[in-house]
Amino acid sequence: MLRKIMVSMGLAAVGLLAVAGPASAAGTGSVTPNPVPIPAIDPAVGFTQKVNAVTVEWSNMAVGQPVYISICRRAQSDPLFGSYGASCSNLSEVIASPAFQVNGAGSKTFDVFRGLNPDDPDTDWGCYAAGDVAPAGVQKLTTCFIRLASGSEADTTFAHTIPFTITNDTSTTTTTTIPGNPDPVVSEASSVVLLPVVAGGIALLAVGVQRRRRMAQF
Amino acid sequence: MKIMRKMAVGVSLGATLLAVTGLPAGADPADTGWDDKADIIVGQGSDTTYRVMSGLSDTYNAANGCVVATADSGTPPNYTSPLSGDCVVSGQTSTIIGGNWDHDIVANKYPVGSSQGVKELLTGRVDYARSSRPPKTSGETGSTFWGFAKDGITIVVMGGRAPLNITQAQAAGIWNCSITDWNQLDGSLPSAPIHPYGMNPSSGTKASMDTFLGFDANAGACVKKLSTNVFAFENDVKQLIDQPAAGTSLANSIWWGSYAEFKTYAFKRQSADYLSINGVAVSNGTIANNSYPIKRYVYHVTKSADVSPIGGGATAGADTGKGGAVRELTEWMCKPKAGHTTSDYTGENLYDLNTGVISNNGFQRIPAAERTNGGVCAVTAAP
Repeated sequence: MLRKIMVSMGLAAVGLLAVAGPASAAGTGSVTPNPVPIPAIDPAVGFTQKVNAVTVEWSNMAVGQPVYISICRRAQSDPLFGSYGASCSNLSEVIASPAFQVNGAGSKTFDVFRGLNPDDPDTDWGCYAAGDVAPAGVQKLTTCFIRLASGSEADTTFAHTIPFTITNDTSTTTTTTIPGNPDPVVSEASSVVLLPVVAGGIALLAVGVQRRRRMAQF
Repeated sequence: MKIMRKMAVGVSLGATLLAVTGLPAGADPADTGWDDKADIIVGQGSDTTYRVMSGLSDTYNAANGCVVATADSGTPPNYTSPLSGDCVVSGQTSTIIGGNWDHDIVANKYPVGSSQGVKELLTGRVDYARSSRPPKTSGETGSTFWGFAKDGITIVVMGGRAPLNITQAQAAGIWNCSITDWNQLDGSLPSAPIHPYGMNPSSGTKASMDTFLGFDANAGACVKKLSTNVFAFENDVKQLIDQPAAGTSLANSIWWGSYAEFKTYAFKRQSADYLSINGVAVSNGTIANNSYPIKRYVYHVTKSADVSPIGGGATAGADTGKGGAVRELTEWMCKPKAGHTTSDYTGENLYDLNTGVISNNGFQRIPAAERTNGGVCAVTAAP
């Protein structure tokens, strides 16, 4: 685990911190790589998602506040966005500590999923490559969004979304089967295994996981 | 128009399988807790689940159901049934049984802690309870705990101290006062005293920590109370800032709380930052797959006589009055998406609205592999 020495400037918090954002523009960020190469999903053998790691970088977020990163089906600016709970994958969320940011800027490795939103078997959306076939009743999104928010998921001052797409990654040829807790049948009776995830990754509903690389969380 | 109406008071052994299907017009659904009358039911207990339960209650209170009487019948003051706001019986045209047929009203009292809430339920002072811990091994017989969401317990540092990783054994050492200096946790840290705080004894969040540590987290001589000589109330760091124990500093303090609450409410969280435990960072993902070691369900608690699971997504219990209202609320919270109706206001399926409420309050649905009784809850009867 990478450990950055905390910069004391502006990060010590003594006394009550009232949460009130300044009237400044939303933060900015980037996702690398984008499009995100992820191996193909294969529902016939039980995959509902596969993942790959990207690097999310940001600046101009609230100083001294954690940054919340998640995958959403709508842009922050979409009139139908509603709220984090209405538009984003809860299990995709990770939180970047303010201790490892400098003046509202930082970066973090983040897992992007291809396939069904992992939150619930009754979910109705997922993020897919152009040639994928989504299960019946599932909205196939070929553009999803990585959302960054400051302080809480209810943030609307600094919160912003970065669109991303998915391409097929054919470069990895091995599949690693990782033992985990079995998961019940999902949609068309696909059999899945829940994989243990270390250090803040999303819960995966797949028999095998292919990762190109894995960076430390902090 | 045939009217099917159960008049008997008491426990019904009929199974209820709610589905959004039709029923004979003018009838409250058979073998259910519905009785065509709007009951007000009141809950009490956990602070951790107060806001999420309030949100779910708002959705339920606004859910569609029967067509109600909108005018008085009879001569005042002797109004006759159906009263205004109760279901029309003769001439009922609604067939929507996936929502809140009776238009019962759910109200949540201000938090007093999980254990006090369950006590008030079992002594008849409230109709249901909120709990952030499972049933005790004794003393709560007659209650059923319906786990409707999952949460983690996070150990936090404050005042600008950078988060670090500790083991379960080190956490135990902190609260049993055998580890008293930060450089015992990490040799690179400067020597400074650790100030562990305790929590209000009736808190379910405290009970969860007790289970993780293997002992009473408040018992150690080094464990701090506030300057008012009471243990801090769960999930609010502001108390440690406003009323710190004498001789302590925020930067040297350590505490624990609900991950859901802390990550949702920055004003309650203040400068608290999350430690990793056994090398695993807390996140929704690591809570869901159980790699993070301190996690728990949060519960809607009922009297077993009002509602109990009987398998296949069905329940048995009261068929009228407040008990019936509790039964229907419980079924609604725990049934899969297919059993729900849509919102009259937004057109969304109420299951999706509830999922949004749960997520927006920092929790997550019970993972699919952990659900019981054929629904979306994890159900446990108190021994």
